[in-house]
Amino acid sequence: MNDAIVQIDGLDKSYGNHVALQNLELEIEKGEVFGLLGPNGSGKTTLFQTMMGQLTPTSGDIQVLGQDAYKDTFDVSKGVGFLPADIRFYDNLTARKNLEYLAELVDEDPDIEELLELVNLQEEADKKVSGFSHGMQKRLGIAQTLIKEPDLILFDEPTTGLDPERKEDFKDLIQRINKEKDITVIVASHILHEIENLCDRIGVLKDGKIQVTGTPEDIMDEADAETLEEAYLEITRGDFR
Amino acid sequence: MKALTVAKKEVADHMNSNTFLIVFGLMLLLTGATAFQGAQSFQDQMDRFQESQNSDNERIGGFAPDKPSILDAFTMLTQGVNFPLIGGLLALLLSYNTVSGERDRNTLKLLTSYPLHRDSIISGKFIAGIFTLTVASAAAFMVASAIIIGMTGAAVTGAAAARILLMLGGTVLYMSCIYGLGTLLSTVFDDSSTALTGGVLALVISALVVPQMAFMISDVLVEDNEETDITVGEGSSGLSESYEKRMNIRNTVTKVFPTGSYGNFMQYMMGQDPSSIGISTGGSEEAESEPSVMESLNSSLGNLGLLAGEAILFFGASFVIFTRREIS
Repeated sequence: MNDAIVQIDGLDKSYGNHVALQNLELEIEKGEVFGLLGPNGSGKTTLFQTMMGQLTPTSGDIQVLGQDAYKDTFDVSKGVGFLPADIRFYDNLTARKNLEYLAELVDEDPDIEELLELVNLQEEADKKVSGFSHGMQKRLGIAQTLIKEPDLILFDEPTTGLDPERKEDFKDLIQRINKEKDITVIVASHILHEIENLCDRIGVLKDGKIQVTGTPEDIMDEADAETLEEAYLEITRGDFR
Repeated sequence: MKALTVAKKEVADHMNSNTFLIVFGLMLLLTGATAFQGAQSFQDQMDRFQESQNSDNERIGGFAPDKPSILDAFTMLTQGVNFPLIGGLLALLLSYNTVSGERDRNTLKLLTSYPLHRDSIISGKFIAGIFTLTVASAAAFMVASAIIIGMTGAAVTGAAAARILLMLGGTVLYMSCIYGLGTLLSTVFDDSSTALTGGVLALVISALVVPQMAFMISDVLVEDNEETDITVGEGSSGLSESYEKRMNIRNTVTKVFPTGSYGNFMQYMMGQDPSSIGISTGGSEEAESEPSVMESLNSSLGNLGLLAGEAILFFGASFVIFTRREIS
């Protein structure tokens, strides 16, 4: 029995003449922390939005939690938490009210205090989000991904806008929710340092295609490089393959 | 029901928004001022009527003044800039960013990542809009009624009260139609400013340009070869044939647009016939027999149907586009 929580076969996505994803193949297993690494515009956000059913695939098959991500969007979204890269909340509501509203939409009764504490926002809980910095909105965004008690969380550029200390906190948080709550995590980033030492496996995306997947060691071997950074540069800038 | 959860939040957002408070405040101010004028006009007409009664049915300018109805005091409210334009503007300002605002604020991706059918989102927003506009319209009608009744001391009969309630219903339907138009534009256009510009343009065309165009079209199509618009004699309705033809063309053109349908509906509710507006037929038999509430309602069904149909069409189109469109 295949233990894949995400199974993508031959996925294509185009916007007019622009090809965002082409013949993308990817399999992610339950319990993994998977890093999706690629430069800006390589298709990471498009892939996440297609997995959430927000974008329609041009062709190919995309299964998330055993369901068709496009046809069964409602069921897929029940089990998947999503942090969009450009996340914003309702400015006129407080952090707590935003979380309560989202929880009410899904008939969940999460421990809001615990979620706020998890991202160190308990002191700002009753302040309106309009006064929040980008980093604070990101942290609140991370908290909202847990409202649904998901099996899978997609983090799109989660550490952008966070200060270095918070970035480390975020890495700890990912590992905690992966180990303690048994949640599969996919982290998309264009910055290698932010996902190395965090992910079990990494997939490098370039021009809408997964170039290589594997553990950091596998990737270094494939690119014939001494370090992961060197391998990443070789894959994304050079004539890899 | 998720739509109600969305609606509850949207109502709170509407009621607390500066835009709503400013335009609603303006509408109440205008309503108060217009009701004041309407009450004064009613009082003047009543004085003239009583004067003519006291002076042994003296005819002023050849016609005996009719006994004014308390509904006449509402004429300016429903035909002027108040409900047709400011009310329409309020509906538009509440709706132009219904979907595009979520897109502008980057909250749409978050919202649609939750297990929530998109039809619940759009229906919730529509319910919230109609509720808010109903509250605003009811408040405006209450203010107007209080001023008119307070100033004139006139007794409101059951029929007049029924007509006022129907006018309120028509106003809510008209505003819902404009709200639907705003929602549709906010669904079609990616940014709120384009949606607002399109909505204001549509409202101005519907409220100001189309009536003028209708006059021009009717004057071009029907040759005015009679000396006067009023005819006298046995079997005459009091209006010339060419005048009736022109008015029919004007009504047909204007009622295709929401503001025209609304204007016609309101005239029927005030016991008037939109095709004879502007002309008093004085002593003719038709003018003396005011239609019952049911007769007025029956006559206005076409306009009411058009308003309801347009509201459903706008909402239906928004619904279909929103549920099928990609979230980017």
